Amino acid sequence: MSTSVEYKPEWIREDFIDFIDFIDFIDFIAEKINPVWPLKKVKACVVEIQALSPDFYKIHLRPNQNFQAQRFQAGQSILVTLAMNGVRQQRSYSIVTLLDNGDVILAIKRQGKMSNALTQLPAGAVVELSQPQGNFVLPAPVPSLCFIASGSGITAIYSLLQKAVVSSTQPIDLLYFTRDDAFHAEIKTLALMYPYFKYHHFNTVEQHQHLCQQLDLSEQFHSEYFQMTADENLEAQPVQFLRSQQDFQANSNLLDSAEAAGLRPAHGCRMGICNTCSCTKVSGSVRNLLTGEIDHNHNTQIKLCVTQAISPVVINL
Amino acid sequence: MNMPAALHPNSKSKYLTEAQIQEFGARVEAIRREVMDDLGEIDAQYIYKIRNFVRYSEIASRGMLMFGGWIPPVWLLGTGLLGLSKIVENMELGHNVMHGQFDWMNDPTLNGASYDWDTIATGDDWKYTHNYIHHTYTNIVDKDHDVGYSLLRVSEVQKWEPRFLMNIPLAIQLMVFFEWYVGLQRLHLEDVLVYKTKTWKQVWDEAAGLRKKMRRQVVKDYVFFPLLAGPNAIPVFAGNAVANVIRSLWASAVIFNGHFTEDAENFEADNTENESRAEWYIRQIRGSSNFSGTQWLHILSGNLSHQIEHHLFPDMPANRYAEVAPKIKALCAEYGIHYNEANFTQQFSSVWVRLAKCSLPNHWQDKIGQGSNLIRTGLAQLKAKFQ
Repeated sequence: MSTSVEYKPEWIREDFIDFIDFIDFIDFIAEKINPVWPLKKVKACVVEIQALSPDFYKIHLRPNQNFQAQRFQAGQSILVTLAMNGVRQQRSYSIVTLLDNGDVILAIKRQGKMSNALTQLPAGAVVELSQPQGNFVLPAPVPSLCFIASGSGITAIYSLLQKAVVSSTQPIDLLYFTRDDAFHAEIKTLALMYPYFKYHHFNTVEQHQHLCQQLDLSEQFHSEYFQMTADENLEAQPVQFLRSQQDFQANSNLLDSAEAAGLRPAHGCRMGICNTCSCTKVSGSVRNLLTGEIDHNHNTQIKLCVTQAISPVVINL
Repeated sequence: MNMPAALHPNSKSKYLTEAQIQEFGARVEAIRREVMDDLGEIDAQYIYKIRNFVRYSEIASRGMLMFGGWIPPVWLLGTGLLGLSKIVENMELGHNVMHGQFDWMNDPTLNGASYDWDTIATGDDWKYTHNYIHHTYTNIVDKDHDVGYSLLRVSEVQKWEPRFLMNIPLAIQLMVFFEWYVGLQRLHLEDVLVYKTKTWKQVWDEAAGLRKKMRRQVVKDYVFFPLLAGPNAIPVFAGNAVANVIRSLWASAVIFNGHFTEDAENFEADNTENESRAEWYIRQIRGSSNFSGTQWLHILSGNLSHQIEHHLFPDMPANRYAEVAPKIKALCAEYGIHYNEANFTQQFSSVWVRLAKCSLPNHWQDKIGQGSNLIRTGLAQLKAKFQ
């Protein structure tokens, strides 16, 4: 009951009612005048959108001065935020290239609401970005490498590849399975320029082939997933949202289950990155879908989108 | 069956069978689902508009006080506008956002978990005393602290103590200092002052967060803005103080109207863990009361004028209550559940009648009732004689 001991007033909340939040006040006014002017938020203008294939688009973004381009490491991604029908949707996209002037190049496959909306933005539209993030980066020093990419997964790999070919002369292999040959020409050029880089390209439409790979997938293997699945064999568990007074049954991750029950908890990336859906689990046991970790403790922070209930659970939402 | 409300003898609601209760609950659920599936751009625009109003009105009012506070009409206007701004911030913005009504927008600045409002109570304390305790145990005596705040006696179910003779004057000062009482509510000072089950040391330890928030509020309204105004310090200080009281008076009036009206029922403590969702819905309706009015009245009251709908759907954006209210009302009529609704003045005067009645022990009330009946019949007889 004495959780109030840990209470800290929200000095940094976006509300100029407090004189301390003068910066926020300036941001509020600045944003009203010009959407890329705020002093804290990373906002970016769409410079150009170019089709790589009928459903794969290259997006050129120009972030404002708040974007910390120097922090970027090849292979990292950014969260892109766009308000759609009143909801701020957030998705993570790998940065394909970061230009010298700080401009960001993304490549986005149309496959959902968000990617559809993003790839149809007019030039000059404004989106919100996060700083570069993620740890899918090259190890140092750069060892000999074998990259495997398929489809739009090429974005992060292409970013790493560009960095790898100039960082060392160790052998590099890339296996690229693709339907639409996005970035194929660029990668071919790299292969011609750097003899220690071997490019294995498989167009899955032309070469309908079965491949058996003899690869050593030991601890040398680093991968990046943008999706994870709940264990559907587990029994559905009753979940209670304390503040909103709602009960529901959860058999997938807590976010999906809550939405299936007609609830709309705050959420962002839906993949355990952005922390928007993080909340306090008051009681019950849950499994983290990313790490497999089981948590029985009371009053711990969980992210709804990557958490599955394995016992009845009470959440402070 | 464990209807929490063994029906009160004065209840205006009909007895329902278990099957009827479940059916009613399902239909309430359907009304909720329809709205929640439809949330979108309109609701987002609405809350941004409200927030812009709060911000612009605060800039304007503080500006007026700072630069023209020494001119009486400007002072009046600035103070009134600041009071209005604080009311809208607390009621339509803060209260509703902290219920998580706009969490679905994914806007971190409008997230219920982190929002903190312009009043003494910390967001965290409020979410505990209000969102959890009051909204879960609504109107259950000894469980819902909002039943009289342990300061007033608002129900015959509450045990009478001599201090409740002061019900009316206590209620008046409660209204004036409402933001302070709400801030202190979680500390249960009555346990130290009246019941001696708690020590001041415990209170001090529990109040760490509250002290920070109090300091911030006091410094902001009574030190920082007055100092910023330089020669206008006194009018700014006075304006801020009056604006805070205006907000307290209005907020408390709205809240009294929501649960202390004549027909709003109280319930005896029982096992709410076994209460079904449908039974919970019915208790919320019978314990709450609405008041009617214009759109502006609804906004100023944070849509708590639709107290019944708010208690059924605390996490539904409040701008939708007006749309669901007729549906809930029709449903209540169909099932014979009393839907407590009247205009502001009617509800507010019934609050004071109730407070006056409850200041006396129940058997005195009966005697007074008998006495007034005697007088009434006596008068009628007299009248008859002279006609």
